[in-house]
Amino acid sequence: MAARTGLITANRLLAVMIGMAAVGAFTPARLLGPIGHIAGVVERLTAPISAGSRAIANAVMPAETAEPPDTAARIRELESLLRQRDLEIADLTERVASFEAGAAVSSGAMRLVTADVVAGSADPRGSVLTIRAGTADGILPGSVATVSGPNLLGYIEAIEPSLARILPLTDRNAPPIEVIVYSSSQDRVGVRFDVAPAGDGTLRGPGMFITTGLDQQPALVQVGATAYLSEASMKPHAGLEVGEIAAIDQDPESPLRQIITVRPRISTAQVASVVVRVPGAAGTDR
Amino acid sequence: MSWGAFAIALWLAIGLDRGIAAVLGLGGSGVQPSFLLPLIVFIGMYAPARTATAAACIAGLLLDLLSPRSLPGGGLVFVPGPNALGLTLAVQFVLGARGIVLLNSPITIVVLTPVAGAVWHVVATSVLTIREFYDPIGFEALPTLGARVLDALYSAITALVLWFPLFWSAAVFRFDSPHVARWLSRR
Repeated sequence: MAARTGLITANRLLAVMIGMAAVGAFTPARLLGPIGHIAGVVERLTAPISAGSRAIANAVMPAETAEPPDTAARIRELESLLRQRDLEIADLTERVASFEAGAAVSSGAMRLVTADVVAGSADPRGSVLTIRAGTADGILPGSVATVSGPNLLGYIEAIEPSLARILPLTDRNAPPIEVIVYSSSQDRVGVRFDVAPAGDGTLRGPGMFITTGLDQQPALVQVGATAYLSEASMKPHAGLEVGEIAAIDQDPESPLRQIITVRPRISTAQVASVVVRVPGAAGTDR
Repeated sequence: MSWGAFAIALWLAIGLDRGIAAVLGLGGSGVQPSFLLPLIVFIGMYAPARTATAAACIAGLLLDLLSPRSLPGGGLVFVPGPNALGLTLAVQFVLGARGIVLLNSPITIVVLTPVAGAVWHVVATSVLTIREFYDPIGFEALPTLGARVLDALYSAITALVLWFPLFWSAAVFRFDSPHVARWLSRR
């Protein structure tokens, strides 16, 4: 306890603490890097109670897990795998062309790491999730987190030895991505859309205008169709499910182009565990 | 006040906020209650003014250190201060109000919690909005403030639930403020 008199008093300690909070609140983000180390310590101190209460909550209200829960989700996972294979075939075709041109290509191996979600953000409006897996488990930059099979949850943004943080793909600052929407199960081409987080838990963006058939009919997508991550956004993770189309608008400047709103099937509020897909390292760690 | 008891209560409240609060969210609205806010209001009702202010500031700093914010160009940042300043000012409201309310009634904490929460969120939102002028992190004040005020309103329910364990464990906190003797002795 601080002395009541002298240089260090309780009042002065309190004033210094509030002063530091005021300075920290207005310090530019580029100078706040070292705070992340302190935050890591606080995270580890609070992780047991956060994980415990989350486990209780998940027991009372079943949350999404890394594995697909039912047959319908299993079918969606297989559809996603089919799309991944289609994109891999396109990728292999491109690699053959690269080999022929003498260019180097990277390995397409993938390591899967299952991890429990320790906690969400303490800020009620924060969307970043913390998982109990980090560099010690082989997680590398460029990894993504999936849940309930092929559903893309978000990107691994900050990795510590035993913890990593997931930036959900709907976070306002998440990067824009390209998705492919197929008009039917026989469609092998699909329509590509550039979507970006809208800030309300959805992704929104315009698509390309393409025509099909001899009569050059415009390829249009329907509400409810699934949007898959394209190889242009993240080559190793292409084919993962981004969500389903919740709404379609027309581009006012180009009426034949569609603007889609994609809503992920998984809410970040109720996720118990995830599968982290680590590119460039084969194997499964479950 | 016993800082050990406060530390344990704070640890539990933050754990509940990060683990259970999201599950208690109202549908897809994202509105969720806070367990930390009623604790801070409770401390503000009974602890000496300086102690309550320090406790609120510490709780806010911990909250800031557990709230990663995404950056537009990629990456995460921890901004220490918005919640610390917000909770510090919120507890000043409680300190000002505690002289004119019935401290041993659950209605008091139910009423004070949403108002203190509104003060907290107005301050925190203002700080983050000011930052946007010179260091943008993609923060939008109005929708965030609206949702946060709804969070504070919802927290009245957790305040009612937490009141009973907090009030009956007041002896563990060893509040030594002169104004509390007549209230806590009436249990």
